[in-house]
Amino acid sequence: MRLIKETIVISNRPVAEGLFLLRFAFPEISQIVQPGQFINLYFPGRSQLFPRPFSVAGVDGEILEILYKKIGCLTEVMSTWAAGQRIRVLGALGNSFSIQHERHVLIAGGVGLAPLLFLNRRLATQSGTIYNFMGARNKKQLPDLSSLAGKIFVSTEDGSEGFHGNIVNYFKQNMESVPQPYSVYACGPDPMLTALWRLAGEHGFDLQLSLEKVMGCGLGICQGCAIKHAQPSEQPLRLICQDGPVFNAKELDLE
Amino acid sequence: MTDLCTQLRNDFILRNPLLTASGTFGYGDEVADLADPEVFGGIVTKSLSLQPRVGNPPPRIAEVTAGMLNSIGLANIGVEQFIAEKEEFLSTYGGQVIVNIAGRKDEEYVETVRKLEGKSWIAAFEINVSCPNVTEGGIEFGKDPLILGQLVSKLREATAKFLIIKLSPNVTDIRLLATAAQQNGADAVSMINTVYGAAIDIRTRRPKINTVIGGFSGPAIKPIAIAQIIKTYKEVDIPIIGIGGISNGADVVEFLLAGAYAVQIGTANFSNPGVATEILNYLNQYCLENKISCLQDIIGRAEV
Repeated sequence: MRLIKETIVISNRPVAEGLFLLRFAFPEISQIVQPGQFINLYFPGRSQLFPRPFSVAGVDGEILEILYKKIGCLTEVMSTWAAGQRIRVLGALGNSFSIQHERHVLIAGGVGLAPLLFLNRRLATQSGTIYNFMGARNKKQLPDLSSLAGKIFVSTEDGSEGFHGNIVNYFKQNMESVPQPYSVYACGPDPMLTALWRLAGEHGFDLQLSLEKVMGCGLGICQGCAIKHAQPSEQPLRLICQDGPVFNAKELDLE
Repeated sequence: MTDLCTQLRNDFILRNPLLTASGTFGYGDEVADLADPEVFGGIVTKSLSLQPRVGNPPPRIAEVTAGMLNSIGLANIGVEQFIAEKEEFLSTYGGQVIVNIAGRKDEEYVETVRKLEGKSWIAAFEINVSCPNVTEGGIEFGKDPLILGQLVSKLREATAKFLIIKLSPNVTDIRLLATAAQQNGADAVSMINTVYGAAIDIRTRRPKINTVIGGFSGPAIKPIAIAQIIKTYKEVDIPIIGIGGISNGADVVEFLLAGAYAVQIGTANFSNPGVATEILNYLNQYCLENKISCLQDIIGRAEV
């Protein structure tokens, strides 16, 4: 089900440098939304026209949570929202992660943590082993991960916390210790996803990627967020908002 | 009760002047759960071509100040699949169904029209002769009054339905094209299609859309549309359907005053999916406050 709704902010607080957790009421979808799905936020009356898509980072009763990074003028506006602020939200949109095996590897880069936070909480209620790999630029940009279920592996690009380097390399070092078969669920910057996509091609593990591109509508109408499909003859382009945002690596051509 | 009806031909009446702009509302049923198509006076479908088209490679859209750039490239399901998949919904639709048609050659446009002419649920065709994003079959038909006239004349022979020619602002004098459309039998012109636009990512130095130059739409282009409509309204006798950056009810009133008989809502369907309902409420209120019993009375009444 999807629904457009005026609702109110319950809370909005920083969880790391430049990272915020926004909580708002959305009872109509909070019980049915699945990890991987996203919502649109609308910003009426501004010169930026497109709604902004955000992965759902968690649900708490009737409340929906999103994790966002202050990166442009609209997220700047969002960072000023206080409890009681009226906002316009549309959800839930897109598909979700498909849980495949008993061992789950979650790999996040920066604010790409958002959909994986939700997935982690969902997986925690099921059987299986969870391995969380979280990469950030530095220690300041790392949120508190102590509530995550499963093993936690942290990397920072400057070495200020955990492994010194990028999260894909850290996973590479550790992948032998994760018994096959396992699924990797990942979200983060494009270069990280491309590196993982190549790695999955070499090692043959199941890889599901949550992607993001500029979206004009989030509803499959503007056809703006197209990406290349791996089998061009079949259906050369897919829409991230409608066919995704979660794709199996085998469906994609990220080269 | 205010009368929001607008009559464009004796057999082509809209229950209100709001239409969807092609490519911003799919084929009418895709977002019906969020934006009720019945609120509109009619639906203009996404551009249809004889064969399905994949469209352009990404990136296909970019956001710019008060507007957007697109180079979708007329991605569409083709006429056969359109009939197979959309007839059921569109034949029960309460407003007017206007099918937008794109082609590469005169014959292709005509053949697409012929395939649809027998469908009684289609009230009108809107002919896209102004897409800025395709290498052929786009704007070249819409630049030269002679070439346009020939196409319109062939289409007129092929259809008795209401025939709308969608004009580009990317020409020296849009009035020459509107006149050519009128002289060759068009029932109306819709204007404006998107304006040529481009944007560059200063970090990568690459264009923000794959085709470099694409179609610019949104509130930023509204004054361009108003100017073109004011000019054209003085020149032609057939109705004008106004398009270009409409985002609220006041914008619709402005288009009608400039000379539009109806309007199309485009980019605003993305930024505000419930926009048509808001606009209708505004129009009813506007008419009430200004003691206008029939909205059609204000068409072309700007003092220019």
